[in-house]
Amino acid sequence: MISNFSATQALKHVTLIIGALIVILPFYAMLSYSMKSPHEIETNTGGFFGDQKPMVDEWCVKANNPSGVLPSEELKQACTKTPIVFNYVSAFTKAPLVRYLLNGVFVTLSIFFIQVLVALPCAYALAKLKFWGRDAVFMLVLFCLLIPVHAIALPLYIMLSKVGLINSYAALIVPWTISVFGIFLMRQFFMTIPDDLIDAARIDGMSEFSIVWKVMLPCAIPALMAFAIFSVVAHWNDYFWPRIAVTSDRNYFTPPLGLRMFKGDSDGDVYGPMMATATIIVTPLIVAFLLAQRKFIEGITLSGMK
Amino acid sequence: MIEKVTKTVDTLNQAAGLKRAENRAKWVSYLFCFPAVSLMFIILLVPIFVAGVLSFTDYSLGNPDLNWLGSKNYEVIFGRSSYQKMIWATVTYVVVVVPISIGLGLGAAMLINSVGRIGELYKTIYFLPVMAALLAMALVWDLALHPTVGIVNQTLRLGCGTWIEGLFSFGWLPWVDGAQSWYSTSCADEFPLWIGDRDYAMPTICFIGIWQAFGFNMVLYLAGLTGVPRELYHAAAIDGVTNTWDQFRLVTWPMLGPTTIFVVTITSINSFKVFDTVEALTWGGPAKSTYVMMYAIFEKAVKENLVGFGSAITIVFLFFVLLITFTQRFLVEKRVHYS
Amino acid sequence: MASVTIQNIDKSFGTVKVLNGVSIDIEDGEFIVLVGPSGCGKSTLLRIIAGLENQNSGSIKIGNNIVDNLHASLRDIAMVFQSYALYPHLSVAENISVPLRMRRLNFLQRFPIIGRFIPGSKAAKASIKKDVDEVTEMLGIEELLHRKPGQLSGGQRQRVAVGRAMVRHPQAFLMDEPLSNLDAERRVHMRAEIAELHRRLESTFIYVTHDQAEAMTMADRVAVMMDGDLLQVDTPRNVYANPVDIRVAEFIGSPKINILSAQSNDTGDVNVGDMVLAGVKSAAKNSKIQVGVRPEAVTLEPKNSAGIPCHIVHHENLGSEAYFHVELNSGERVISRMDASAIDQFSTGHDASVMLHSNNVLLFDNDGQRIVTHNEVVM
Repeated sequence: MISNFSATQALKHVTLIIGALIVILPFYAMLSYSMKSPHEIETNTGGFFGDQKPMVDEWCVKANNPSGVLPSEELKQACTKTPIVFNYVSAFTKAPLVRYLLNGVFVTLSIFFIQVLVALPCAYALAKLKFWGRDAVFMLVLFCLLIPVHAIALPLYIMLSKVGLINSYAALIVPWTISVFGIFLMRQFFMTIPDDLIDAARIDGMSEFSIVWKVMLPCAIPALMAFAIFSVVAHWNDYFWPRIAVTSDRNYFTPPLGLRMFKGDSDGDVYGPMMATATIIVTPLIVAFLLAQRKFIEGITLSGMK
Repeated sequence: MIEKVTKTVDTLNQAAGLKRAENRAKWVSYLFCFPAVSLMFIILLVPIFVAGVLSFTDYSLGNPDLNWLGSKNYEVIFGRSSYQKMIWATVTYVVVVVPISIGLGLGAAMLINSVGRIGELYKTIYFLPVMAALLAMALVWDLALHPTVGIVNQTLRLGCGTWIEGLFSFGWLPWVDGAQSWYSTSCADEFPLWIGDRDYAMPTICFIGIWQAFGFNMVLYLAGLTGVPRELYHAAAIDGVTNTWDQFRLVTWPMLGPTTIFVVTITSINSFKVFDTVEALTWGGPAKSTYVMMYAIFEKAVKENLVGFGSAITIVFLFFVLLITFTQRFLVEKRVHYS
Repeated sequence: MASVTIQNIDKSFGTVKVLNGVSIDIEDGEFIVLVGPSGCGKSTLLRIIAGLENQNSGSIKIGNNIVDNLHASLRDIAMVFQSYALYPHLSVAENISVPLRMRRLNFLQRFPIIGRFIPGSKAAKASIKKDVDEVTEMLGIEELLHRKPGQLSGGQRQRVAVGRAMVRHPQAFLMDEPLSNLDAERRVHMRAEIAELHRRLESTFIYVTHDQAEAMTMADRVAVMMDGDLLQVDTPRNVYANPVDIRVAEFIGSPKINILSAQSNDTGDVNVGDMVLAGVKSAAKNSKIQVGVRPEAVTLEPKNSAGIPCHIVHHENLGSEAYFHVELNSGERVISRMDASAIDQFSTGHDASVMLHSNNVLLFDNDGQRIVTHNEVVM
């Protein structure tokens, strides 16, 4: 009985470990590539960290040698770096990665704040106020819940370009300002808050506005946290909409768009910097996830509450 | 008498006060709903209407002429072979990714649930792809699957001629001719180009999709499993259930019904929306084998400015997605909620 | 129908010991109730008998078979769960037939669709239907056969759960707080119904509850458990009148038994405060002891020299009877239960005297063990 038990247990672990290896493989490759020299990447040598043998940065040489004749030894010397430094420095210098990252932060946070600003009062009204047409509004919410914004990206793109907003922060943010799911979620949450609390606030002389922001908002912090994670992860990682909304102006690129520019560049040997960029883009969410796993899983699976 | 009158006046005053309060509450309600409702109309409903209208035209941006084409765009989608391929590719992707990622998600959830505390570690690892930007990971897979320098083919090549080839050519099975196996022929000839090969491109895109999605399904199933009352398993044991399969059939699977319906819906919709991997890796090729709808909309309408035609694809796409959601609603109401 | 022998069962969860060498001999056809406060280990013991949990040591015998290494399904017992544990996706008829399907149909016959074409499945299914019909008729739930558990009331679900247990005529019925999810009125009704069912089936019932009223009203014998120990197994009458341990005395009976500290002298006389208990001799001489006396054995009398002086703190009128909460000079509280008419005489805020009926007095040593008294001799 005992030995049988541990045999099946061992088999389970073997299965799970093989799965884990396949899941981790690209993360491993990404990190590893981001630290290797082009030569090591091509020959698949150098183990996980690469040999870190100093290498000559060809871009640096080219940039400082406009004449195009044979570069001097001093120049080559000056342009010699270890691969890891070369990859990560190039990630920031070949493209305005800092700007992309700041764009990403700005866009995701703006989206989240506007979503809350729009959704919270509406959710409160739907959950706690009585007014003619409330059921109609709620039906509308339920219907809109069925429409994925990605699916109507094209008409949105046309409408935005008609009002001249393509290639702007507004183009990146506007389609996401309304989160029907957020309204639905917060309404369900507010339904569980006792009416007495709101009546007490009214007797204390609060206006409906202050009730929303001073009573309901603090009550809703746990649900709001989960929604924040849901929203931020989705929009930090989103590639489809930015790809459509920002066609040319690199000033408005979000991190995934910036990363995409590495591929298809005419320069052949950009794998190292590309993987360094990928690592930089992926790391913040992964680290946040590892630090607050339960919250993240709760947030991402939020949509399961429907 | 006087008392009575004052009372009535009081009541009237009170009533008026209540009425005022009610009126104010009503206006506040409309004020609260106004931004959300107007945005719902402008951002979600009007675009559907716009797409619907444009899908019957040859509209393109910057072009003042607009011709009414009737159903011609739709006829092209369903009639011309390259767009039949588009629907075929999309449906193939959904039909492959949905069941496999759900099966793997359920399997992983049940395994993790049965190994105790250490399961948390696997759960964390399996969830990583859900957190990572798909585009970034697609580019990593692209490099890993590179025909010559990619880590996958290089590793496979290392195995040639060693015991690994022996193992994976399955020649040790009496009914298999090892030399004819996929591994041995690839060793002798060349390993696949993966995304560059029309036979391998779609499976590879599907693989990345599954790799990315199954952790999400796993987490939903884990949540579903915690909702299965332990007493039901005990009742099943006493009722004579001795093996895992019967336990699964009698308790686990029926109890996961609502989770499954939800997981199927959300995975289907997400699979229909596949874009990042295709745009970054294959551009719909080779030979339109990975030409999925979202990419087609992007290519036709945004890159080639055939807005009218792109709108028609959008409408077809919306039709698919709404079909799935309505099926879900119907199923949920009909069958899997037991109370 | 079989006897169940529980020998020296030990069980720990991690470092927490939940059962300490529990042994009970349950006779064939007996209705035994395991009762105790929550966390006393009674449910764990039931689950060990069922085979849902493994004991660390000790042994379980059902009939003549030692079942320690048998899977739950092979022990030939049935169980009714607190939550009823009905399969929510199956109809009442299907729920009741599950134990039979698992036993009479083989793996292939149970398979959906294909099962129909496997030889023998038709006859087996007919026999299952016959048995299910028999049980549903007996329980009076024929009209519910095609409903799902979600569409049933609590009492109906409870019956279905009993039906699922009955259908295969097990050696013993195990019931884990089966009435705790019902409302008070329904519970009293089902109490009688289960007792009647037991008489009709003449089978062994092992019933777990924390409700002493259920234990006292249904059981042939009550097993009182506390902190993983089995304290006493006896008839309801004896558990009440003759508890062997102060914890049993305190657990059984409502309102709770009064406990007063006392001192015995070298002749065995017992002093409560300044008063000597008349006609009671303690076997433990010259020691600090505890006196337990049931509220109905305490009466109040107008202030006199024979009783213990007290002050009435509170009284509760229950219609037919009344409870008087009184405080003694020592600060100890005593509850007296008297006819409601006593309220005319005694009320809150007044002084009175407490009289203890010495033939109903129970003596316990300081560890809570019962001390032999000789009051019968004196009487």
